[in-house]
Amino acid sequence: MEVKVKIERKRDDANKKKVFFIDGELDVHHVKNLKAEILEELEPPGWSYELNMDKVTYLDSSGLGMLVYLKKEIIKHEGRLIISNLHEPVLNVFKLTKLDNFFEIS
Amino acid sequence: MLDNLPANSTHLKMQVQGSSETLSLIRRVIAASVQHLKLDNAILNDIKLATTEACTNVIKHAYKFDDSMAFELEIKTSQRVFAVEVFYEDPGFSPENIPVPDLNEIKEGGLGVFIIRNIMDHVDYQTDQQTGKVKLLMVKILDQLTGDGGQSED
Repeated sequence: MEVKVKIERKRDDANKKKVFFIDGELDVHHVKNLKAEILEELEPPGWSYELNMDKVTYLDSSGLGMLVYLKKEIIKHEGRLIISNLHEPVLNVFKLTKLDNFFEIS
Repeated sequence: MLDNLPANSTHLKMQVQGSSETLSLIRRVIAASVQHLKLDNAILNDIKLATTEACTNVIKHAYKFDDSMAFELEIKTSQRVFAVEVFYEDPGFSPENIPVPDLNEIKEGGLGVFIIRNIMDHVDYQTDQQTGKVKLLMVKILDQLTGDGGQSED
């Protein structure tokens, strides 16, 4: 049984912003490809990257690990990472590990 | 706690391929195994999260993503408790050596067992140093959140 993670992208050159709409379950099976796909999209300094998690129904420590890695990489690129539209079960995992303080969540 | 389950309890045992692809299936089996209990969503999410974290540790750390390996899951539920046991092999593993993460130090890993211990009511590792076999028991008490209160949603 394979449950795929889908990503839709929206690019806003005027505001130097990319939005990734993620749809799926973020466990260890899916995070590797997702991480690679987002890293391929990094732009020169000054860009913002929003991960819209409205359709993320599951996230665990593997998903959090990927997000920590992405944030560190984006900071190296002098960019900004925003995580948006978290549903309660997913937000609770951030709170439990106190990573809600590390990420910019809107 | 688990030896004398009432007649309406569920007891499920399965052998699982040591592949990360199976994790989403395991979550669906767990949801199906407790569907009749109409659990609060937060409790159901905790159970799925803890079980996935435990299975991820087996697949990633004990089996190093070798999908020729397999492990066993045994689920026992009643109105009172949800219990899941994970049976696997990890020679040399010692639960005393699992590091406790410093949450002020932001790292990409090492949070799985911390999460399990924080969301389950009872967590116990048993190891056999001679055979390398490990049994992990995780229990969630459901008593106060199920029954006739009508607070659950379909």
